[in-house]
Amino acid sequence: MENVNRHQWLIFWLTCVTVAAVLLIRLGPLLPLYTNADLRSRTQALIQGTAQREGWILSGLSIRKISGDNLQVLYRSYLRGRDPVECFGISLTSGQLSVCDDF
Amino acid sequence: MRRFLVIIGLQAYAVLLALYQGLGSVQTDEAKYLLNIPYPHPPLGRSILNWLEFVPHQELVWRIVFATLLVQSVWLIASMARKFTPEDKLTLCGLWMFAASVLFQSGTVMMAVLTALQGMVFVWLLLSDEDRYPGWIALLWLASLFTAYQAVLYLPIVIAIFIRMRIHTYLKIFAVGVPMLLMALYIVTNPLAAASFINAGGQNLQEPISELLKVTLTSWLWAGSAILSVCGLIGILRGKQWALLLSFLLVAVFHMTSFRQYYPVFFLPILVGGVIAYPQVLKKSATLLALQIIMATYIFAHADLSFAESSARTVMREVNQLPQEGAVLIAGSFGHQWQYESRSPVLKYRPSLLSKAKVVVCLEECSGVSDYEFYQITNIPQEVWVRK
Repeated sequence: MENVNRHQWLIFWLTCVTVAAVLLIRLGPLLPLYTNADLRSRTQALIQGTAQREGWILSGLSIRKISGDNLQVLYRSYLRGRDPVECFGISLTSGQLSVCDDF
Repeated sequence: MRRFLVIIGLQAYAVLLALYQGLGSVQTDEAKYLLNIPYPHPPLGRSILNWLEFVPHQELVWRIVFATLLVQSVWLIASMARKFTPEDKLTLCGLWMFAASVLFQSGTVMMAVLTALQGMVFVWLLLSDEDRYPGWIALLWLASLFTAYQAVLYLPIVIAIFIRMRIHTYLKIFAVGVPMLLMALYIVTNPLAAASFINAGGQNLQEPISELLKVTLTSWLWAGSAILSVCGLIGILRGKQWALLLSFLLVAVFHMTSFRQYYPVFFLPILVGGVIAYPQVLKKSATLLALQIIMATYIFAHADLSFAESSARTVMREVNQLPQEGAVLIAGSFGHQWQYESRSPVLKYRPSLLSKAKVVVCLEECSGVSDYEFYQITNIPQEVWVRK
């Protein structure tokens, strides 16, 4: 145990670096939302409108990526047992919903 | 042998408290954690809860674990009070056991309970002059913040722990600051969590200040069944425990901005810290313990006991037995407990989605269902339509 205690700072820093790396990787696809206010408000309106139309519960939605005029979202239906996950593309111009090709 | 019997007795108490909470049904926030739904809290606590999702009685298992942690943490209190007389030590442990927030919150599967326990460990570290493990304490701070944002309410205690340590100043700053920066980064990567966090933070701002003060005062008194609440606060002030006082004020302000019925437990470790810091407050220990038991009994007698199964559980038990495939559509406002009880995806009711549905639950009027091929189930507490 004394041996482990000697490395307590190392373990703390390694944990911090790992957490930071995971979060930065997750931040990557969301970066356009923070740099472009217009895109952010359009995305918010589109997600809320689509969720409303499709009966989705907002807490099940996560943004997968934003590329060009297409927004990809994952919808997870939370329930007891294995949660079904679906991927959808939403056109940022027309709002049209499609199923992802690469999922 | 005597200690073993005490542990068994405490465990029986914890199981009873967990079973008492389990007599009702899972609450919406509990369901959110049990299903690992990613808002508003960071993932550490809820991910661990979700590991046992395959266990049929997942909810009850965690209720017992949470109740055990809260009840058995009386040993940590006994350890902090090791210099007390046996009577004072017993009184303090009794004040803990009969605190309303232990009685009513220990069997709830809520992050607030875990945060309070983490707060208790920080109070123990503050008052025990322990300074051999700064790295582990920094890691605990990180873990606390990634269990629930409210861990930040104990920031003054954490700062006080590190200020006292004989380590480089930059290490102290990093140990406290880096976990907070990572928490901020987590919020940025979760827009929904951020929105929910901001929304919760300002929801009480419209209330009159007198109402907010009343709610906060009641919460503080309820947390320690009044006796521990008063003794703890006197102890904090007379013992000049500024870190505890600042944390106490943070918890109070937090109550004012976004009160929830499961927040009083945040006061508990701070109040215990106050008594430990100023043991003279227990001068009439036997009277205090007797009063605490009377107060706990009074609160229990006036509690809103709910032993009825929720309609979500009753309805979904029926729905889960149906052979049809498809989604469950729910009309009206509903909580996550409906998802927790369901074996099929749950969607909000829209007439256009009826073709995907096997069942429609109408918590409010749902137009158009009867025109489709659905029949209504009777003898059930809600209006439920099933595909023919």
